[in-house]
Amino acid sequence: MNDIKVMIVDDSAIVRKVFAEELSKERGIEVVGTAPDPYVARDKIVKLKPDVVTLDIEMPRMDGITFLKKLMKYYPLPVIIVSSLTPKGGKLALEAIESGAVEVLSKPGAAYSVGDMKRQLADKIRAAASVRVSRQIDDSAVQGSTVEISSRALKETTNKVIAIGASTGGTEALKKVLCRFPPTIPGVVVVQHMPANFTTAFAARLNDLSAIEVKEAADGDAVLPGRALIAPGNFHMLLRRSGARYYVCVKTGPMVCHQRPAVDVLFKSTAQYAGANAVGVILTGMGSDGARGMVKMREAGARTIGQDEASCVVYGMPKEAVKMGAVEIVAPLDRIAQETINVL
Amino acid sequence: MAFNVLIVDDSSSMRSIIKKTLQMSGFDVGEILEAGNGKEALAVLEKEWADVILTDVHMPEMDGLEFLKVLNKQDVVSTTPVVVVTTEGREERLDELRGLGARACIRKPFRPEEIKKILADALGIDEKAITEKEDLDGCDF
Repeated sequence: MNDIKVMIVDDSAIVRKVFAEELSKERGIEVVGTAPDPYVARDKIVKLKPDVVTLDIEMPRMDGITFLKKLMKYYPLPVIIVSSLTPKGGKLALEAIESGAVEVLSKPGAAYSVGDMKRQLADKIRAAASVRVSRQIDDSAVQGSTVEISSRALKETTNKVIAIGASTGGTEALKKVLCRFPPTIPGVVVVQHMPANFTTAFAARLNDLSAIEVKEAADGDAVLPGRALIAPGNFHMLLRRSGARYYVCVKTGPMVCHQRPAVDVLFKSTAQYAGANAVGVILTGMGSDGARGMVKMREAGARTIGQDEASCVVYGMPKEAVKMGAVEIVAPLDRIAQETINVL
Repeated sequence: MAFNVLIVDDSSSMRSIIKKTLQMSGFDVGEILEAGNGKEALAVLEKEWADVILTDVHMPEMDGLEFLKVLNKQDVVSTTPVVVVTTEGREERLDELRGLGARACIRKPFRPEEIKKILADALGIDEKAITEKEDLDGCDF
């Protein structure tokens, strides 16, 4: 296989240098060029035809989002956003994903060392290289109406819980799923691989778009009908039960499958505390996180759904779950919300 | 660094003059794209990446005003800065063009120095700063 050709766009000379040096040590990755601003980047992209671009969207004088939108229009290719950990950075990163970027990564800082970042960036570049980038971003499904649940079904769903796991491509996939859920939906718990702070902006954005409440989870938050809790970046989220009520425990701990939050952690706790009352959904993403947890859920009697290959940005996590026999129903993204409600 | 410029004018000789003036100005011109009216310009923008647009006002089929109006409704290309190049002298007309988002209005004929400054302003670039950054980039690699 040929090396993955990478271009680094960042206004900081130091970042360009460090990224280029670190990535050049990775097998299968070749840094073909760097650019300090969008105009140089465009010229080099045309000339060097990289497979993946890393882009800092917070560049002085230049609007990274505008550049990204133009790039996706004229030279669509996988773009990984490298951003700061500030709330503004989180918001911009989210806008970037809506504009067609495939992944978000935070710059090294308090939560990540350069070493962590290097491994994560290399992983994300490998994932991004296999992504199918669509020219136009299709938002039609988001405007699609929510799915109805009959009142009969509702009575029986009070002790149900829906656990969802996603990674690369998951932010857009989750949007499509959560926006279809009606306010009567049982409590939803979500792990989306994302750096710390980005999950705050992500939850706020989904909350604006959805008929249900979407909240970045805090330790002890109750899992309630009509509410989805998103695990905060850099923390694991576990389902717990107290009497008839579910709540979440948000805590730190070792990374699982190189991830924190990890889908496996959420799914295993869901298997333990909700058993056959749970529905597990595994969406697009690279790697194998969630597969083992989903096996546990299945063993505990939960219904399980996996996103199909054709609609996945990266068919990794659902593939592993299918391989391990954990997935009961395979469905395209457009059908996930409906299938979830059908098995409640 | 080079900037792609789209020149919209119904007169091909005027487009040539503008092109030549641009090239003489010292402004870093990349690709030069051309269109005979607003409608053609929109078709060009569907396929080609322009960094800045220079447009005439009086043109057949779709004039500069209509072009700006349609451009503003587009998703991606609406952010491309537009500079109006015209013989139009009426202030209210120029105000209308500015109201539609034109970054500057420049009277035909214009001098190379004028256009360089206007384009740099429209693109929001500080030429000195960019030269320095370029040097820094050169040191690294």
